[in-house]
Amino acid sequence: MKKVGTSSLALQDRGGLGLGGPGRAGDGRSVPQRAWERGFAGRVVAGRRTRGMGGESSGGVRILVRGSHAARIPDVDSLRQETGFSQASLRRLYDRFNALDRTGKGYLSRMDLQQIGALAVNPLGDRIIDSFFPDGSLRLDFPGFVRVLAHFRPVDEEDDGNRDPKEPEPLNSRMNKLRFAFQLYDLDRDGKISRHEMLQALRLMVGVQVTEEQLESIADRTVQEADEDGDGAVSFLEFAKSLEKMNIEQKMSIRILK
Amino acid sequence: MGIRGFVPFCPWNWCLLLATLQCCGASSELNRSTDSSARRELNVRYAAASSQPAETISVFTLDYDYVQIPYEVTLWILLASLAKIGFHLNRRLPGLMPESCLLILVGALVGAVIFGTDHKSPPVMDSSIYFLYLLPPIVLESGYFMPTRPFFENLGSILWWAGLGALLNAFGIGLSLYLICQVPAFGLGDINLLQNLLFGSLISAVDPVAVLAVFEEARVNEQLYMMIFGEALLNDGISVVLYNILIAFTKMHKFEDIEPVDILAGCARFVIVGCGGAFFGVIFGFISAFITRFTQNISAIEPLIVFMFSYLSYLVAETLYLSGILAITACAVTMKKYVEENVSQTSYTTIKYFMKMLSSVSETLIFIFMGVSTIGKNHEWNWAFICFTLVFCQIWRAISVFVLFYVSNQFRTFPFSIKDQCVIFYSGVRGAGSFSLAFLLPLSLFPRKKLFVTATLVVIYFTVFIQGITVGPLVRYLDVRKTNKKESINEELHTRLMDHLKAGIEDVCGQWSHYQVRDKFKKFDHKYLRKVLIRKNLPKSSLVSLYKKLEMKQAIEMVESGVLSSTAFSTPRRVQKTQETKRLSPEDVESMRDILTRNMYQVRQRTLSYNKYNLQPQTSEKQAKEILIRRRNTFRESVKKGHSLPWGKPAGTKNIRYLSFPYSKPLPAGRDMKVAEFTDHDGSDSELPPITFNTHSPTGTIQERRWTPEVIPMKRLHGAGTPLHFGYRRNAGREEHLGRGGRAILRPKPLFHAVDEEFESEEESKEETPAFGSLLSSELRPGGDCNVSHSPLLQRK
Repeated sequence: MKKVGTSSLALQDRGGLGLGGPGRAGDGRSVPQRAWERGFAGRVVAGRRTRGMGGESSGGVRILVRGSHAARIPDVDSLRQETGFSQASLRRLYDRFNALDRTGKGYLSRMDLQQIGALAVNPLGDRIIDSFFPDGSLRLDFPGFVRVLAHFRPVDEEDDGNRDPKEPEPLNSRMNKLRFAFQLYDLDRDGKISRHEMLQALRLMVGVQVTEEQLESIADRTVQEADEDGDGAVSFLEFAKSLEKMNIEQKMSIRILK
Repeated sequence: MGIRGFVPFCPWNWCLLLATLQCCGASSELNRSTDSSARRELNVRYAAASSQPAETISVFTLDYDYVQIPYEVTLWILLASLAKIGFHLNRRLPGLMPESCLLILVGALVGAVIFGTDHKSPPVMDSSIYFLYLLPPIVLESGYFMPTRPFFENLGSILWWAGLGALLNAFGIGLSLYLICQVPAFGLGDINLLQNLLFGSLISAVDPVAVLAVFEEARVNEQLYMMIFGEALLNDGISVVLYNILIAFTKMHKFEDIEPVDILAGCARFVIVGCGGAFFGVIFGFISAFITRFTQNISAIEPLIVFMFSYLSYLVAETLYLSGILAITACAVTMKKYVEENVSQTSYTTIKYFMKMLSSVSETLIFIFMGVSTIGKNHEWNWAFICFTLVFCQIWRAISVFVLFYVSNQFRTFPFSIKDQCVIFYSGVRGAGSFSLAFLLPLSLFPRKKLFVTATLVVIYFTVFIQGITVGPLVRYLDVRKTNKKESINEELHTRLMDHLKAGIEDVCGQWSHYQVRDKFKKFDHKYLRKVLIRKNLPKSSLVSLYKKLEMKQAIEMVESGVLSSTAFSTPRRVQKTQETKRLSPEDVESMRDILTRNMYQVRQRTLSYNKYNLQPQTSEKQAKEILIRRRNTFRESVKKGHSLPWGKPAGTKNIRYLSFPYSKPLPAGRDMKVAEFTDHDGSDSELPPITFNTHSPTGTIQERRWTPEVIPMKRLHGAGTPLHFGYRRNAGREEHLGRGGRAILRPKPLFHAVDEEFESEEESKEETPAFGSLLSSELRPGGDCNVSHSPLLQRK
C-alpha cells in the first residue's frame, strides 16, 4: 500500500519542491505534482526528513486539493512550530480540512463538523464541536483547526529535549491536554466546574437507565471528592489533582496525529 | 486433565458427561448384542418397505446403526453448545482463555468417552467431507465478517505478511525439521524432505482470530487487528494450496523423480491457483449481488442466494483445481457490501446468524475429531521430532514476524511497533485447520502419519492452551494500561470523558486514507457497480425504513411519557439522596462507581469486536439511537423553557443560530440519488422548491422556534401529509433529509460499527455540488437566524 517512497519519486520530490514556489500555479502540471505529492509523503515516512524540508520550501508549499485546484496551507512554518506537527501531518490535516469543508468556502462552520456522522452519535459531540469554536466564533480556519488537534499529538521524547525553556509549553503538554478536557466541563469559563456543570456532563454521558436522583447524588459526590477548598466547585488545579495518577499523555493522544 | 479444574465452572458438563456415557455405553452394548441381528433386522425393514408384507411385525425394534452418524453428531454439537453456555455463564472465563480451549476440552471429553466405552466413532471426517462440507463455512464466515475498509487500506501489508509469512514459516519449519531428521540418533531418517515440507505447510496454518476475544478489551489498534484478521483469512488458503501442491509432488515422487521444471511449474501453479480462485470468487460475488437486486418480493430466498452462490464459487474453483478457499473468501468480500444494502433486515440478520452457526458447527466437529484422535492408540511419540517442531514453530514465527514487519515498516506511514509485533508473534495459535490437514494425510504416502498427527496435536494444545491463556495478560502488560481497580469517581468520569473526546477528535481527523487506488475504485463503484448491483427503490425497502419506524416509535413513546424523566425508565434500585451527609460509606461510593461504569456510554470503537464464536448484541446501535433521541429531547426541553440550553449557556439568538441546518444540505447520508429525487419531488408538490426557502427564511421567530419541535413527531407519525402552510411545509421537506441523516447513522453496520462517513461523504459531495451556490449565500449570512426552525433531530446548539 504505502510503498511510495522509492528513489525515483524522491527525485520528483525535489523537482516538485523547486517548482512549487510561490510564483507558479498548478496549471497543467497536475501529473508531476501528484507524483511529487506521493513522493513527498513517501520521503517523510521513510527518512523523517521533515525538519529539513521546511527550510527548503520557505515560500510555502503548494498543495493539490483533491487533484483539482491548487491551494496552499497558510503559514506552514509558523504552524509547524506552534503545533509541532510534521509537514506530512499538516498536509494530511489540510486535506481533511478541505474534505470537511464541502462548499470550498475556506473555513469550517459548525455544520461541517456536525455532518461527521460518527460525531453525531458521540455523547459529547456538541461539546467537542464547541471546543473548535472558542468564544462563540462562527468560523474555524485551518490554523485554528490544527491548533485544537495539536492538543492530541502524542508526546515524544525529542520534544522535551529540544525545547527551549523560554518558549511556552507545547500544546500537547500534559497540562494543556488536561485543560482541554477541563474546558469541556467548564461551560461558563469561570475556571471552575460547578455542581451544575458536573451534572450536565453526567447527563450527557450516562445512559437513560440512571435516574435523575442517582445522577444528582453522583454529581454531588464527584464534586465533593475533588473539591479541596470547600467552595463547592472543582477548580482546574483540583481537577488536575484528581487525575494525577492517570497517564494523561497516553489517554489524550491520538496515534495518527504524529 | 484440564477438565477437572474446569468442571466446577459449568455443571452442565457433568450432566452431559453422564448422559453421553450412558448413551454411548448403551449403544455399544447394543451394538455388540444386536450385531448379528442388526443386519437381519435391517433387511426385514427394507423388505417391509418394499410392499411385501412381513411375516411378523416386531412390536419394538431398535435400529441404532441407522441413525448412528447423525445421532452422534447431533449429540456432539449439543454437548459443545451446552459447554459454551456454561463457559459464558461465567463472566471471567471468556476473557481468560479462548473459546477454542473449551471446544478442545469437549472434544477430548467425547474422545475419552468413546475410547473408554470402546465405541467405534463414525467416520465423519475424511478428505472429501472436510474439503467439501466442513471447510467452506469456516472460510465463508471469516470472509464475510471481515471489515472491508481497513482490510483494503492495509492490503499491502496484509498480503505481504500473510502470504510471505505463511511461505516462510512452511519452508522454514520444513527445512529445519529435515535437518533434524538427518541426525541418526533420533531415528527419523525415513522422513524425506517433501514430507517435512508438507508437515511445515500444515503446521504453519495459524488461526490467530481465535485469540482475539481474549485480548479484545485491551483495544488493539486497528492496524494490528487487521493484520491478525487478515492473516487468519489468507493463511488457510495459502496453507491449503501449498499442502495440495506438495501432496501432488509427493505422489509424483513416489513414481518418478522431481525435476526442476516441476518445481517451477509448482510455483507457477501456486500463483495461478491463488489468483484464479480469487477471480472466480469476485465473479460469483457480483452475480449474487446482482441477483439479490430482484428479490424484494421473495425475500425468504435472499439468504439462500448468498449461501448458494458462495458455495458455488467454492465448488467451481475446486472443479478447476483452483483455490476454493480464496474463491469463497473473495466472493464473500465482494458481495457483502452490495447484498447488505439489497436484502431486507430480517434476511440480513438471518445471513449473519446462519453463517456463524454453520461455521461453529464445522469447527466443533473438527475439534471433536481432534479430541477423538487425541485419546486413542494411534500415536507415535518421538521426543526429538515433537520438541523440535514446537521450538521451530516459535522460532520461525518470530523470524518471519520481525523480518517481514521490519521490511514493511519501511513503507508504512504508521509502522508497527515492537509491541505490536510481539502480539502478532504471540498470537500464532494453531487451530482446526492444522489438525484437519494432518489428519487427512494419506497413509499410503506417509508411513509416519501418526507421528505427524501427534506432533500437530502437541503444537495445537501448546499454542491454544499456553499461548491462548497467556496472551491476554501479555497484551495487558505490554499495553501498560493501568487497570487500577481503586479508581475514584472523578477518575472514572474523567477517563470516560477523555475517551469520548478522543474518539470524537479521531472522527474529526478522519482516517488517513487518501490512496489513489481506493479513490479510483470508489468512483468506479459509484459510477457503475452500485447502479447495476443495488436496488433502485432502496429507501422505501429494507433496513432504512425499519429503522425509521423504530426510531419514530421510540421518540413518540418518549414524548408521551414525559421528557425522559426518571419515571420513564424503571430502575432497580436507587441511591439515597446524599446531599446532606458529608461522608459517604465506602459501599455507597462503590455502588455509585458501579452505576457509572455500567451506564456510561461506551466509546465508539472503530474496529468493533469480532468474536469468532458469537455475534455480539449490538449495543452501540441502541446507544447511538438513545443519544440522538436524547439530543432532540434536551433541545425541545430547552426551547420550551426558553431560557437556557441544558448545558447552561444562555439560549440567546447567538446560540440558537448554531442549530442551523442549511438548506438542501442533507447530512452525509445520501446513499442513492433516488432519495434526493424523492425529497425534491416532495418539495415541488407545494410548488415551492426547497431552495427558495432560503430567501424567505428569516421568519425564524421565537414563536416558530417554539412550536416546530412539537410538530415533528406528529408529522413523522403521519408520514408526508399534506402541507398545511408554509412553515410546516418546510419542515416536512427538511424532515426527509434529517430523517435520512439520522438513520444513516443508525443504519446497522455489519459488526464493525465504524460509521463509514468517509465513504458517504464522498458520495454526498458529488451529489450536492449543484446546490452549493445557493447554499453559500445562506451560509455566509452573518445572522443565520433563518436556519433556526428545522427538525430538532440533529439540532445542536
